[in-house]
Amino acid sequence: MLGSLGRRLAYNALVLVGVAFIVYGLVLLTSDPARALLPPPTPLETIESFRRAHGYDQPFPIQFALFLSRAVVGDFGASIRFGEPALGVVLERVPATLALALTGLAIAVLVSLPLGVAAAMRRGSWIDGVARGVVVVGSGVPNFVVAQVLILVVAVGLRALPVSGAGTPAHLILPGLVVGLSSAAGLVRILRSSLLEVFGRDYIRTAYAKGLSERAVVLRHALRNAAIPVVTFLAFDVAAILSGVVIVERVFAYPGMGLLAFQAVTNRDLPVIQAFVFVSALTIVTANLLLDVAYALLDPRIRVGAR
Amino acid sequence: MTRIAATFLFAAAFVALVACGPAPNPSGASTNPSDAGSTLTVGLSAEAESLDPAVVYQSAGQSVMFAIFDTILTIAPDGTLGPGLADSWTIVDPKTIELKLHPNVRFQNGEPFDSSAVRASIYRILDREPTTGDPITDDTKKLNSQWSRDFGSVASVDDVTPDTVRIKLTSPDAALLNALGRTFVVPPKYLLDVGNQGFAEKPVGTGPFSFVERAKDDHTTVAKNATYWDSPRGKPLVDRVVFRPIPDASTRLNELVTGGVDLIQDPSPDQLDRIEGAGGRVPTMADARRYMIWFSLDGKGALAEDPNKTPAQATALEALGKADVRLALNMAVDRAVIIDTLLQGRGEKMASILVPGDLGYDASLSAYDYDPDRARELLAGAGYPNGFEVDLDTCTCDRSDLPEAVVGELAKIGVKVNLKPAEISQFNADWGSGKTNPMRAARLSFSDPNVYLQLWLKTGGVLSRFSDPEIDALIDQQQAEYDVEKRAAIVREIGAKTHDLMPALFLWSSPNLYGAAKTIPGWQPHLLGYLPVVGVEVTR
Repeated sequence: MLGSLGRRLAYNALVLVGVAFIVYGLVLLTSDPARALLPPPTPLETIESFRRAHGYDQPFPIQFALFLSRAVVGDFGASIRFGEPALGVVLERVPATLALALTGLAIAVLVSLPLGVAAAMRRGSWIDGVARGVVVVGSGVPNFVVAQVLILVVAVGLRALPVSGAGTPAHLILPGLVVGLSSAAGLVRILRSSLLEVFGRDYIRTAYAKGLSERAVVLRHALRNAAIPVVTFLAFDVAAILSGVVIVERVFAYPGMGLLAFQAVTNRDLPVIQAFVFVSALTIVTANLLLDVAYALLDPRIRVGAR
Repeated sequence: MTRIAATFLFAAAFVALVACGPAPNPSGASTNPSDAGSTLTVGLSAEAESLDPAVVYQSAGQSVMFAIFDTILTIAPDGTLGPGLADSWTIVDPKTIELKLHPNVRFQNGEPFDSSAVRASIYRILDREPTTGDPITDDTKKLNSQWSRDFGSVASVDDVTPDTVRIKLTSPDAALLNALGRTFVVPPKYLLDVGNQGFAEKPVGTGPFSFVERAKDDHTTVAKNATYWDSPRGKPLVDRVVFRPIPDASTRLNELVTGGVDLIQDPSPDQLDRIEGAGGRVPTMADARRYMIWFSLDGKGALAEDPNKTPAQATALEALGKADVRLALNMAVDRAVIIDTLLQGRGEKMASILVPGDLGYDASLSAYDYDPDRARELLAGAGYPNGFEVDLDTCTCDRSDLPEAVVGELAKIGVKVNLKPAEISQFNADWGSGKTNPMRAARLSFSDPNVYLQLWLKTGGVLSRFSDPEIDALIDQQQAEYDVEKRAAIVREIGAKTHDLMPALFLWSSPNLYGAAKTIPGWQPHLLGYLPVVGVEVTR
């Protein structure tokens, strides 16, 4: 178990280096931060001293090696825009984005769990149709459209919630709904199909034959066995949520990691882009590790490394 | 069957939500009571790049800077230069400008304002030591401010007495006065204590509002400076101003309509009726944002000097060198239609390189008529009856539909234009190093024409692909002419000459747009593009 975990950790570290290389290389090869930030009327010597100050005058391999050696200890250099350490700039946004992501996830689970179960139990009924509607809208309509519609209806039309910004729990609801709806779509779909598959199994028939109530059969036997694909989906959904918040945060002017990343890209703030990608990759890698642990907890047959 | 019906119903409900979204809008009963005292909330299109005025360039960040800081001279909303922290300025000789400073002004932290602050503020932009004026050699301590381009002529800034400053120049420079109207004054002692980074975190100025707090990408709050001096800019009339960066244009507008903010910049042009529908106004300001396509005419630059250029490239350069061809291109574009359709009618046809709001702008000069038939004749007369093919550089940072529309117009007279879009840093780097195609689209603005003329039009200017000795002489004359009227006349002459010589395909300029709620009936925009908050009263 431990050996396997160690192997996985080493593998994940490699993944992080690979991600760093791709992003560093791509950003630097496709754009010159000095030129993007200092347009032509800027004297050439100013551009040169800017490059020296940020190390952009070095050859690419040296730049990348320096970058890696510093990144290992969490030093991504100073943000070009804010002048502060880039990792700190990203990390101070984590709580806000975490609050948004968790709100979204909570909404997704609260919506999809009852809906998915009901849809599977009453296949073909009106509730199954509603579930399908959530799937169609949630996965088919881009989240910036959903965001605009919610703003127009709830915030502008009904004046029930603030249009944008952050600071109070009310500010979390609309962006949380947008993040939640796209996750809910996937969750409902997976939960419904996975439950339907379990319903056909012998042990479910046995459970009914024992005289258990439908409620007990579904909650105690079916749901637990149907949970594995759902948990898998949730772990992968972390990545989807992270990329989703970039747009959602921009639309709602919500000061989290996503808005920061969006602006770092527009401003060619290379250190911040690096730190953001690193933190995101770390989050996803961690989510996958947790997924393995969750498997083991959910299903005794799966024990990591055990044979 | 019921399932399909329910799916359909859900989707239909969503579509209905989309459809009826903006409709229920009962004429905005503002649900935004201010807590204690009055608050003005401003929705900016971007977060300030920094709170250090030396490195803030965009109008969003400048709006915050103009609240916290005062400038050495002041530029009025209509562009007139007047006293600021300096009560008066005297041209002692063409290479010496003397400033008399306003007495008894203090920074918000109590530090007295005097001539050493003026000196430090200018030297800072030039990356020079605040007292000695020696160049700073440590790269990590430099600010690399873009504003340094305005101070190229400064030899030294001397504090003759605590309230007298003399600026010594290497050559006469009338444009410096305008630059002084945009130079924020910073407290030298405080800066020495906290350093550049500390200053950007907690800026201190002499301005009408003092800095309270900033949550990046969320808000920057400033509070009324109760001891603000009797500045010609007016008085702070609200207790605090909250600047909120809201990058999405629709969200910004929705905040304005629901009373979340009182003032926004850059509302989306297709939604302006919603502002008026909610009782607000759409103030506009003639803007220096001009859009044109420059021609390579000086026979220099990487392409012209390349012996291996393709025959098509050689033909294009040769064709653009002929005045009749340039005239044909200028007559081939239906500017009015493009302005009406793509700019929602908010734009002015350009007749020369100058636009409304510029020093020396001549309203009597009218844009070239749209006459594609005459354009075709001109092309044929110049030896290109079947037109020619030419590459056009564009920046991906600008709207792509505008150059596409122009390309469509030019195709009608047989000129085949290939768009060569480049990402902004590549676009800038290529331009700076002369690696440009025969035509290049650019959008730019400025508040004094000097830098623009020097860089874009003068022979050998970093961005210039044009050469005309008479214009060169006029450019030097206007820079040395301190009398505003006389200088305007020289610039007007330059404008008229560019109308005739056509260094570019003149397209249009577009105004800055704002959205003001009915809570700020008196608010007016500023020619510099920032959103003024001093002298603004909020009525709820």
